[in-house]
Amino acid sequence: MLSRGFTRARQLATRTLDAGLAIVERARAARKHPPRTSRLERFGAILQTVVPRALVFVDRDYARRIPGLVAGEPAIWRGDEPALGEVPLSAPLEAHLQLTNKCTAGCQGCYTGASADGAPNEWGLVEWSRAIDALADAGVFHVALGGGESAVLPWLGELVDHTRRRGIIPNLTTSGLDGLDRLLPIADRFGQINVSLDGLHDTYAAVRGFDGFARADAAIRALRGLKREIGINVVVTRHNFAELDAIFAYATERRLSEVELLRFKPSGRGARAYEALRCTDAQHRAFLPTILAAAKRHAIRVKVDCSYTPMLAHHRPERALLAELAVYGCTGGDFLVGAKPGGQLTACSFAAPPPAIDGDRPKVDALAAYWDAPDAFGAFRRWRAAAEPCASCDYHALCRGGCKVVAAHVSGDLSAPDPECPRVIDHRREAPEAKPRHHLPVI
Amino acid sequence: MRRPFPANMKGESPAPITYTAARPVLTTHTAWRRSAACAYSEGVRRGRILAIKWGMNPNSSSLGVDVTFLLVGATALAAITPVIGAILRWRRPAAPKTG
Repeated sequence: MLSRGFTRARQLATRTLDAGLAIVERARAARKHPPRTSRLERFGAILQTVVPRALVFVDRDYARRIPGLVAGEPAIWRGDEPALGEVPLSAPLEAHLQLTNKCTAGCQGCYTGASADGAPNEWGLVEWSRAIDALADAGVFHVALGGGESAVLPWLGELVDHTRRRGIIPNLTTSGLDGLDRLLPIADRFGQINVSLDGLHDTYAAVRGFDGFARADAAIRALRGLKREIGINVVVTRHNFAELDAIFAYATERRLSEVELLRFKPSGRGARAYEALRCTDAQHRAFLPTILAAAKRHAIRVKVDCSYTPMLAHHRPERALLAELAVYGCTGGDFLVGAKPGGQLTACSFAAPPPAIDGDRPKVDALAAYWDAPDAFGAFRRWRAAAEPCASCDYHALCRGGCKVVAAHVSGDLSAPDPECPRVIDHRREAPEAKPRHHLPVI
Repeated sequence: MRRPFPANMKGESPAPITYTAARPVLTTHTAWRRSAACAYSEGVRRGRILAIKWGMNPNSSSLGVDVTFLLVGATALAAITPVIGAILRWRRPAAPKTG
């Protein structure tokens, strides 16, 4: 009992020390390249703080009281004041840029289907810098850089510097399997770096299809030696679900700043591996209690991706609390956008590019022109027109129907309710139309 | 302070946790906050912090949200919100925007 108390106290002390030193690192970086501090929205404004790291959504009255934020009545505030989430934002909060589709790892569930050759017509530094300019002009706060394996790109450091200069905070996901020698010298220029780690030892191999744990672990240790805001991204599958507690323990042992849990998506090579790797319904129902218990036990911050919102709502948390934490389901084409290696704009990284307008698919460097186009991002923005059981769900305004990519893969319809949502599963079990029809309908 | 997730978090194995136990605490607390905020803002129109999205999202495939606050619940969030408000007001003024 005493030793458990001592371990706990040591964990909390270490966590506090690391958090304090991370604040110093962050404040230094912000002094060098001040990030965007605010953006006006129809509901009011979004304000960014560096210490603590947060985006704060405030209404118009509150925004008026922020020194120097508004003068007079801004054009965007003409008309009624909508609630947060009622209308799309004026620009995304963050953009997910798939800088390349080159990667030699060959993971069986890779959501981009990355290969050693990459994608045809991949953009280079000039085009991505132009995209960063467009995102900065639109008011984007953060970019998440990924791939493929973008750490292998020789110009990544230059792009990151440009991103910082434009007031956007660059963050990175890496497998840690390649490009580490290029990444280490520029690691301090990122806001947060997360290494993909889908299990420990044999579980890593079971999920990814090869044994890369030792290399990923070495990359985590090397990055953590240089920077404090290093975390891990864990794609949760039926193979590693039982190991989540051990993964949290690993993250604490390595003194990482966070564990981010991602739902397995049927995209890229992941479409073929989906049935074998996706979590079971029982695992989804147990997800929230399991991760909160692990986060508490190991004193580490836990983040979950937007597609897990139906699994959070299943436990009926206070809606106001979720809203205050900005816990939303599918916000593709609203809070976030994605871009393919050739610059094609998408609602999220898993989604296909939207249909062409005037014969040309929209590109991320022309975001502003597409953002307000009629029916931009199609079904991603039409989430209010939901079928049952979403239409009558108390959490629909937050969850927005769950993950559209999973819905499209399973039912062929982006607008269909998320088929892995516990409420949807229960509804289909109970709804008469879900039962096999024994008689022809009477017309 | 009453915790929304009490004793069942203390065991060795991840015990089942439901929000049912936490709801009375959260509901009462949130209702109090709302009524207090409304009463205060009616006279002076101080406005409200609507939401706080913590941390950053390095994940290049989807939007990550910090759910650690679900452990400590609305009370901790209520305690930290005024601190965030103070930080927003104390920092150097941004360039005025007229839209």
